[in-house]
Amino acid sequence: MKNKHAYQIANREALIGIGLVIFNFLWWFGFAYGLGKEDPAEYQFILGFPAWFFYSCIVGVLLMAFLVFIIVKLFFKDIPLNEEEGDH
Amino acid sequence: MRRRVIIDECNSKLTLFISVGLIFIIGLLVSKASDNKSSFIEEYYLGGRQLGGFVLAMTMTATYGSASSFIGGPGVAYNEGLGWVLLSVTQVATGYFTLMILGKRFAIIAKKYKAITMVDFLKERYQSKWVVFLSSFSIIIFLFSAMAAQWIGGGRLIESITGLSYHSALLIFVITVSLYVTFGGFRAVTLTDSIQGSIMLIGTIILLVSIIISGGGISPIMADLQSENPNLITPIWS
Repeated sequence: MKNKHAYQIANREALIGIGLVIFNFLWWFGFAYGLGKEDPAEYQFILGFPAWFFYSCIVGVLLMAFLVFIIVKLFFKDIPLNEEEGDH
Repeated sequence: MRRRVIIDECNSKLTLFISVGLIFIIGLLVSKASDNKSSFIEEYYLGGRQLGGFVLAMTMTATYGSASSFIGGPGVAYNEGLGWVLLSVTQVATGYFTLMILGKRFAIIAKKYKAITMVDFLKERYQSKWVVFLSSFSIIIFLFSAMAAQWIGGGRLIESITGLSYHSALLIFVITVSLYVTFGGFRAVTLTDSIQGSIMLIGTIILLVSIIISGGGISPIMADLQSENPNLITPIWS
């Protein structure tokens, strides 16, 4: 019974992981090739970096780190691994 | 001038051997200090199945930040520009993705099967000789090639810092790593990984700041790249 519950938690967290990685990919790809495909002479620069690079690689990494931190803190459950050892 | 070079070389040799020695001693001490509560096998291969978050983070840093990030990667980035950096950023996802999807499930099932290695786990799960054979075979092949690259990287690094010949540099590197991995087991590896991961993290930050300062700020660096070849600052490889 306990074990089944643990699998449910693991499943839910795996789904959250897939959602996060899809969001991560869209953010990364969208900014990089959306903003970056124009002529380099027309580029806008933010803090010295080309805008596509700034959003895709710098903001993207910070945002993902923040999201992972928040999601693990708020939605992930710690499960005791020694629980079922008493059974047998 | 020549004198200066010799002193520098001596210093870097000294630094190298002291740090290799320190890492080595720490690895050995940890292997002695580990408690005997869990079985030797679990302790040796899995660190008793309990390691903290910081150790995990630094182990992943040291694992991903391998010879390719510090030796091969910058060279490719120099040739290809920001497009390469864009590609390497995708690695960020692999850490949390694999941990979120496999981490908890593996922990539950591996504990249930009392599995120690990946192959133990697959054997219990699929009950098939072929799965065992294929997984062992691919682990040996792929780990071997990945490790060969790390060893060559480590050997070249020691060679260029100390001026030793490539083969003696490689020998020092291989002997040190093999010894502390053999004696220390997983706990020693994760501990030395945490130390090395912290060094890499701090070193990378120092390197980043000093490069930006010596390049006169980010804007001049980007302008330089653009005048060199406009494709260096596009996401498409130049």
